[in-house]
Amino acid sequence: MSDIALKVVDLSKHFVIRNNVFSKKKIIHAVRKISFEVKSGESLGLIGESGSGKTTVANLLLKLIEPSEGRIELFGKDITQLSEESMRIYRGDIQIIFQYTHAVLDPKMTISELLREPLEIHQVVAKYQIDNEVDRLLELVGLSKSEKNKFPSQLSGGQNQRILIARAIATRARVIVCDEPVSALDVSVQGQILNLLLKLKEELNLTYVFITHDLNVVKHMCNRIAVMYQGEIVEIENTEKMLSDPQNPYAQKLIKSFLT
Amino acid sequence: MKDKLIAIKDLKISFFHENGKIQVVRGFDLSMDSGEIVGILGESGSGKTVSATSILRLEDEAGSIDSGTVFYKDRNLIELTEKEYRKIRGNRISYVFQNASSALNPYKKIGLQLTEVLKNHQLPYSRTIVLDALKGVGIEEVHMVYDMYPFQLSGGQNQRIMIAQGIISKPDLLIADEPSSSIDASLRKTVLDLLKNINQKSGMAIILITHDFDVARYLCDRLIIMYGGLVMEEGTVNDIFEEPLHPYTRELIECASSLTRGDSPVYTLEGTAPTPFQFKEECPFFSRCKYRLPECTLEIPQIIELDNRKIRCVKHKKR
Repeated sequence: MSDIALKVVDLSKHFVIRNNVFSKKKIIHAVRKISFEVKSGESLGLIGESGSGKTTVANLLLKLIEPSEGRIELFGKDITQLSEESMRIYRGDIQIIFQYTHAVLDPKMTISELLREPLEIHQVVAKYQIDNEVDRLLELVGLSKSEKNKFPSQLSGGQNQRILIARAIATRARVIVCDEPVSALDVSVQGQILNLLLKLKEELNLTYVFITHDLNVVKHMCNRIAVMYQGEIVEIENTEKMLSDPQNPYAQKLIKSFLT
Repeated sequence: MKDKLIAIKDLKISFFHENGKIQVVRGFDLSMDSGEIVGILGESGSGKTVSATSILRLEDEAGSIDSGTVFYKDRNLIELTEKEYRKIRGNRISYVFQNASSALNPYKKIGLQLTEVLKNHQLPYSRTIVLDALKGVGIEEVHMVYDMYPFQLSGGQNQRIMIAQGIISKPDLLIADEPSSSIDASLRKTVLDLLKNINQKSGMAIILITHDFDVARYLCDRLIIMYGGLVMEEGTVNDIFEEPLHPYTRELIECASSLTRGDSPVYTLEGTAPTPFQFKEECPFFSRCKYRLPECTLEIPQIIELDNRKIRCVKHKKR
């Protein structure tokens, strides 16, 4: 229908916190009325200090938590109202890559089992084709077939990150939310993973939402940048313009504070 | 001859595992004067943390120092008894850990945790001294923070408290292990500025362990580049960034600056670093090196001293 991959309208999330049974309820507004659009094939960078609500946005986009208010449209379809059951169909469309691979990958599953899992759950290919598909995914993310029977602990951090990426694209996801995908990696490996993400974006026409601390990464990966502060998007602008001439005072402060 | 603050020579450290012993640090040298900031830069598994913690002898039963000497002023730390050592650890030499939220005691109030350091080392202690230390690291509303628990504070504040805990005994040397990696980029600069400030004011030397080039460049006077459990290159920050001599350093800097420039695709270093299980008696960078020669595999190359810098590469023997 449209070439808008992801549209977020007035999205809010608040958490109710109670220290103990007797204390007063406290409401924390983690995300307040944010709106943005991401075109198909575009990458949006989400930057801001910790506590600004970046990760809450990621969780909302994947419907890992329910929004308090507002709407999320995935390729024109409002997913906020969907039941858990019907969301499963759309979950293949939007996937997430986390920062810490060791927290995501089951240490007792081999690489091939880890890759079969999403393929089986989402019934991406017929059963007899699964083995071929696993090989194809490994090749796509630049791993050799000989790694198939290894466990995550036998691979390096960068290789494990490749497995996460392979799992994300296994379901033919068109939108991928990347939550600090390279910040736990060494400099020489960071580049490899970023190149892989860029390559896949070209080949599979992926749309990225990039959550990161690292200005170099945003600069490299994103067309547009949204700066978050206390749950709000204070400014959203093309990467070049944002980096050279931020308008919002907080955005100015944030961009200035990066080491360069 | 004047004693160096720290002089480490030919240090080799092993760890025990189920099938025996494995050497993770195969050659580490470091000498520094008071007031200096030295950065140890390397990828994960290069041995940078183990080398630096050896100064504090934190490796315990799991590891052992195979050979080498670690001199602090005129004393060889390796030969001290644990009792003697306790007078130095945390008092003259302190350590700031990477992850403040797991290094601070969650059950004790901030004030008490800082007071404990002073008590343990029989230093004068009072609420004022602790409050001053908190002020010194840029904590606001110190009276309130004094009575708070670590979980009530943000990551950046906890990191500052860790630093306060490290410097409250006015040590000669602070070892900071990735002090800024677990906190926000926007706060990173303030923590580094803080360390720099303390260094300039009190002349406290700092060893900074990091894998981040920007951080190292921002803070350090001198850099040691580690790879495969070996020191590969050492020199002043300017020399290293202006004219990296070792192929590994050159590749790393190229990777980092390619990322900063925003090249597409980013320049990368192919292959992976060897793990201690894969260490051989050859240059550890051999398989990834562009300038490799047959003699690189004959033995571990010796460190060559040039003026004001050191390098471990066969190519430089010939010059």
